[in-house]
Amino acid sequence: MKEVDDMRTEASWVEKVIKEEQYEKYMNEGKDFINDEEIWRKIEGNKNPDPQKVRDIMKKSLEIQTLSPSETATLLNVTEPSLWNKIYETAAEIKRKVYDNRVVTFAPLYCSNYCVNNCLYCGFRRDNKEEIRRRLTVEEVKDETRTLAGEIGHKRLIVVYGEHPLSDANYIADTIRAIYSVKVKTKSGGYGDIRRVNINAAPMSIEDLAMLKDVGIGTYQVFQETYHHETYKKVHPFGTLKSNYQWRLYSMHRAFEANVDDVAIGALFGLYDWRFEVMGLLYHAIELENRFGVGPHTVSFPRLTPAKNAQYVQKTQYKVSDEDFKKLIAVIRLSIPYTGMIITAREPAKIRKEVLPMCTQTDASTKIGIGAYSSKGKESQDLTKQQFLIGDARELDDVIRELAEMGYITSFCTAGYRCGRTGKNIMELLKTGKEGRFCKLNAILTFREWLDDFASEETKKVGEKVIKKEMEEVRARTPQTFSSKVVGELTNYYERIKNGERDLYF
Amino acid sequence: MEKETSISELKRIALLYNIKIWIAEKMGRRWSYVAGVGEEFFLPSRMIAQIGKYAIFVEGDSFDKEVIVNNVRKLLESQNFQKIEENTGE
Repeated sequence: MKEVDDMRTEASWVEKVIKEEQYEKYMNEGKDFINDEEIWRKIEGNKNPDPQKVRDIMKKSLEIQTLSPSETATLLNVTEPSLWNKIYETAAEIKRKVYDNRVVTFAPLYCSNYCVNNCLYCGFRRDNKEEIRRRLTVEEVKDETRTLAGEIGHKRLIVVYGEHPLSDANYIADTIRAIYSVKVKTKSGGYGDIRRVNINAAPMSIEDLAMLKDVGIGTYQVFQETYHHETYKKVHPFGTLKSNYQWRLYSMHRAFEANVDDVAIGALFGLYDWRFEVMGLLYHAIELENRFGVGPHTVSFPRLTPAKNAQYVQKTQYKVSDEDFKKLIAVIRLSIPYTGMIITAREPAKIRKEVLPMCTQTDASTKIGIGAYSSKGKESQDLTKQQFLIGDARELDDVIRELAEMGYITSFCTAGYRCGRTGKNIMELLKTGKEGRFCKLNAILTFREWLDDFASEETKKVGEKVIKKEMEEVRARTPQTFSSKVVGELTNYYERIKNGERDLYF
Repeated sequence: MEKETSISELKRIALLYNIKIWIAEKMGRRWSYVAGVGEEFFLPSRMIAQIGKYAIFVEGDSFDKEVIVNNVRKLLESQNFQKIEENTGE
């Protein structure tokens, strides 16, 4: 009886979610901005590109200008290995130009795996009866946060929810408030807290998004999964909420209408041809830039990984090889040069290391089971409790040490969001290469904090070297890039942090 | 917010004191950019006042805080912003 009642509740909730008037107004004669035929025409029409044309496109990317679809299609058609090497080098150069030498780290926090959808590639799918369903209470969310912020030292999270009445916008708002409320004393006498809560949740109405904006969400992330209409229809069964392609595609339009500052897009690579998906991401970015003057804050490019009772993963003919994966990351980097790019722990350590020079963010100490952080589960991954298998389960300390050995500084910066450097404002700073200067200064300060509060002795030793190098670089760029006043402020803040003060930033 | 009107007044203030100035709106624990002008100095930003749900952020060396706060308050009021209890401070 209870099961029938639950089904009725779910069904009546599902009926009210989609508001056609909130996306149809953006469509042109019933068509959305992804034209499948046009995308294929661009890809097919730019075969055998002239190397000089490819070099000119790279130059444009280096000037931090969004590429046109034809230009991106040209890059996708490069076959010459030496040109690809040049593309990889350029992608890394763009990353350094826009975001400097830092890599931001974060952790995912899965709050609920109830879901009304039935996506063929996902372990949370409704028909997967082997999945153990759970929704964290507000107290449990705080427990998870205490571990993440107080023991591991994370400062930013991506919080993930299945699409279900039990994890609706009200629940999401409650969990965000709970996360922000946690403050934990650390070993150095400082404190650990989560300073930015990003969310990965289902498409929502403007009203729900406005509510989440009010509680202080950082980035709102929705992946289109696949931009290819026919494939989208195939993998999202008819009648489910997620089967509405346009409701999902226009999620970010509604987010901007709700005044959310930062939005994030992505595609699940492996559902359809990777070149098409790269083009889809570019069209999405262009649409947002044209309509709202702000492109995606970040782009994600997860590859399909095994999931329980999701046979599509094994069957797909579009699995992306490691070589193509590297290519697609480079082309996204060049196509949307200002955007942040996230490489996650879905990927094995070796791949992450290889593509990291082109990326801006990565996760570590990753657990994607519901309640997995505070349960301190050391057990191997359990597909009955998580959405998919992760490829790199290393601790944050290990990942940071590796980054430091590679010469990168880990940043826990969340400054921009707390002094209004968001939306159009940050977009301008990114496009002019100015944001990278803030990145450098704030990376030094936040890394110092983390080393004192959370690092192992081994990591601290390597980390100190990186900080020294970064400080020397700041001084070497004075007064051309950094005024002597800036250096003075940096030194002052750095010493204060060493003496126990926390959360000082530029 | 009527951004065009705000921008011209903020521009006047930025030029007068050679500062970067912007207004942000409080959203939970974060500040969301509304409008601003001025050259970037890469100095730590200072919140010089909170007026209701809005705050004034400044980057720069020398300026008359009182004058800026009064002018921005007038700007916010002139556009019928919701008046909320004032909370001014560094």
